[in-house]
Amino acid sequence: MRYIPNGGQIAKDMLKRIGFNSFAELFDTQIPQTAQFKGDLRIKEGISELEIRRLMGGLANKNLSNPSKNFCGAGLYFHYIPSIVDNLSTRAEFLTSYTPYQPEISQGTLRYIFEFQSFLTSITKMDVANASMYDGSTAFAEAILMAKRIMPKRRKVAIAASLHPEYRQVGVTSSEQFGLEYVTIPTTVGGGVDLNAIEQFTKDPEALAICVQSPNFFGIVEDVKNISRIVNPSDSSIGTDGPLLIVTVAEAMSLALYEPAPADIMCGEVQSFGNYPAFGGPAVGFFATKEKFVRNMPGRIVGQTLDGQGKTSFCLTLSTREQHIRRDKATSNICTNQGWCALRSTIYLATMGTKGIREAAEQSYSNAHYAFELLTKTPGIRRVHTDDFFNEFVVEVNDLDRRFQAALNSGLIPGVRLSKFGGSRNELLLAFTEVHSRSDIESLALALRGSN
Amino acid sequence: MAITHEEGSLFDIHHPDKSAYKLPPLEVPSKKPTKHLRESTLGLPQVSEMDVVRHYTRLSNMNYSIDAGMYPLGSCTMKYNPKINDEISMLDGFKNIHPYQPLETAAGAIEVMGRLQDLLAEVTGLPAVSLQPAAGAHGEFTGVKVMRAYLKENGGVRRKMLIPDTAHGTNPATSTLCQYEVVRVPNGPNGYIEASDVERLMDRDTAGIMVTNPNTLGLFEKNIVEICKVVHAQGGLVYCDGANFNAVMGWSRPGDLGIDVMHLNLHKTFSTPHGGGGPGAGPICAVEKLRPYLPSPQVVQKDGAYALEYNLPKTIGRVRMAYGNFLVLVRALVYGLTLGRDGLKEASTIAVVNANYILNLLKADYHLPFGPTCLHECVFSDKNQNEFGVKTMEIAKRLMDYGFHPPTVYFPLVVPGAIMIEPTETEPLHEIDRFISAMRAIAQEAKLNPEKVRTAPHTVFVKRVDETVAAKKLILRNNSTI
Repeated sequence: MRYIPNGGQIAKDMLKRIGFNSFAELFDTQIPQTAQFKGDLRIKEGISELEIRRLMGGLANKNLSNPSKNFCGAGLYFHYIPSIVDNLSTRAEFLTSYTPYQPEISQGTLRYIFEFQSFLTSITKMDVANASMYDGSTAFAEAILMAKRIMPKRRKVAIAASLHPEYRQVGVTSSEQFGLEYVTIPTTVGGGVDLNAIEQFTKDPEALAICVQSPNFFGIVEDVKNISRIVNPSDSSIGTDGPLLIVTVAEAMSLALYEPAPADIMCGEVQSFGNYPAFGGPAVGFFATKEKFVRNMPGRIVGQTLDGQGKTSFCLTLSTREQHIRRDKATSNICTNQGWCALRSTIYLATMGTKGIREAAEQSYSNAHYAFELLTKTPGIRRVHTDDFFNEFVVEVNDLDRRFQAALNSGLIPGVRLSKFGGSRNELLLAFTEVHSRSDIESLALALRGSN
Repeated sequence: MAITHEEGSLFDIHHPDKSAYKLPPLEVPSKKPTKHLRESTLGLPQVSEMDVVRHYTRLSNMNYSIDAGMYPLGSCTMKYNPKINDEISMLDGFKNIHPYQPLETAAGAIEVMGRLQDLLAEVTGLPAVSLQPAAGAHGEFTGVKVMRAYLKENGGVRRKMLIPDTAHGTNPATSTLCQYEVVRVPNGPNGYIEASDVERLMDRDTAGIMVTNPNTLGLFEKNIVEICKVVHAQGGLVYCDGANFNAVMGWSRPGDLGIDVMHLNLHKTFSTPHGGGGPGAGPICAVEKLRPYLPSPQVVQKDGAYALEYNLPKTIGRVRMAYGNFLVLVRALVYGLTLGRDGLKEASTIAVVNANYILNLLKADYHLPFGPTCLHECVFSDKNQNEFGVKTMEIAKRLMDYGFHPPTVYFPLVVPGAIMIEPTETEPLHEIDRFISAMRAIAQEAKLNPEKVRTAPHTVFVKRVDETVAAKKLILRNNSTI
């Protein structure tokens, strides 16, 4: 086997040198006979690279994979990724290195994580950000758990109906064992959260957290400033008088255009920054909060320090929150996170800079609004919400089954059907980015016209 | 190779006229939002493409990596990451597909997951598989939630969980996260968990035990079958932390021993790259009776093809969005296909031979608390070197001067000053010999020139990093404003 250099006689000689005649003799010293597997695994013999290319290439070809003809979003987006992101991130020094527990020989990893934290705090206007979470949904779950650590006596969590349904499911699965009660904040006709419901909930003495997403699952940009004002009327009220405000962001590109929420915890997904949708993973979660909550934060954090010669260097810090030190008292069980995906996001942000991110965001906004105009002029297609959106929106389409199929037949994936998430059978959620050209959008509108 | 390692921050070379990107001109009418507008800049540096390339290339040069040398990190299984795996994972048909596109347009992706599930089920002997967990700890969380859901329907969730002292930190952390009170199980005099200890601690209010097998001393838990019986007799379940599964592929199957549910770290045993700390994948494999509780959706076989099943009334729910770290799953499948039946077993066989070779050749210089053999990793301590005032961390840092990443240190906790070495099967003999020579040389230095060891590393360009200062004076972001 070519990945096993000590096969054949080499291993046999090694065995002999340490006093064993056979592999079985060595394994018998460790694994009792009754615990040994005596048969052959029902797995095929190994195959060559060429055969793997044929087999896996065949599987890849069964999938429709054309970003400019794909209008799915709902938390994962097809943005353009400059070629240096792939090139630099796949350097083996990054890809094949371990978690940076030994700072003297891991400064590369530590420095890019520090940059990731710096970029994310700057973009979100939060005080601190960690070194990444698995994805937006698990970051959201960790936010609920963190709120529970900060205010252990409270037990009600209000989640906006317009928050990503899968984020909600993950949040509930991950926290229900603490006996929490989940309340739903309804959506207004505009498409945003009902501010009155938030205000009501805030007064509940058991209120632990209010969770909203902006832009929300339907693409609508929430009035986060007002929400924040309702939840935390003054700065001193944060985390003391009322519930914590958790704001999730699934389309991080939106932060180029919109003011980030003054939240207690802001978390979500930065796949849009330099990572492929990749059938949903690996994506990359971010988690940011206020400085006073830093010791309650989950996950790894990199800090700046000095080395023995007084030179600026970096290391993992606040490890006393973490499982390998605190075991059952840790703030989270997270260990391996999404380091390499965070690297891709960091390189992407460095490449695009403030201007590039803004331009990609503006193009996404303009493309989505152009599509919205075309589609809502199409017979049988109506807008669902009245508030403004960033780069995705919901429309109601007569006879969606047939029109969706017609679009598929012409090689287009016209968006995400909300029936998948318990929505109406005729609702379609469409997302647009800079990868969609005018003609892509016009073909989409044509395909969805159906034969009406 | 980098001639200089003096690399500043991107903020220092920012200039508003620099740019590293170009997008096509907008083809539709330009529109801008009018409400909730951002009030200040994003604060990202503007640099050129050359700046970005140089910066990250130089950062990469500050890293040790498996491609550059041996990573003898116990319990981390830092084996070679085959290039073909990465290349296949970057095929358009895998990276550019969306989880919510109609599944009939992603049949190849579902098949990748189905095939990988079948492979993992066979190698563990545990038929019910979920690929959703994103890492080992996430797999633990998922597995314990599954146990909890099963117990809830079978008499109650219970309050306690048994955790051996040799366990990874994630095990007690996961138990707490799942609302179980941790009850510690001591390890017996030879490093094994004794069934009698488990019997004494196990009761009807204990959900079960989380056991790492092989354990973190590199020993196969000899009493595992009996331990499973004891736990089952009280209606409990046995969780296996599969972080050390690289020792036993083809030699022993957890499902045949009485294990109810376990996770595998694909970024360890199945060779997917660690990426400086993820992404990993931590699928769980369980016995048939736990299948109804696995996360939703499940990949199932229907009419001879793989499909997603959402109708799962007893499921614990979702543990992440979409289906898992898919591109990691692609890599793991390619690895499994490449090695096949005999290759997987050979991987474990040689991993164990390599570890025992190191154990035997270093035991004259370093104290070996448990033995006389091991599986995939061996654990020494700094007891012999303590006589000269030299400690484990210093030995670890000194290894850097010899060109090696240090082993796992101070773990497991049951061995004071532990030095835990896992060479894996992909380390060539001449590299292993070089490592042994380095360790022996350090043992000599500890006797003759302990100060040299204590002040290591000397040759790496960053001297000992002050982790205490970092924790006291928190600087967690660059504060440059542009």
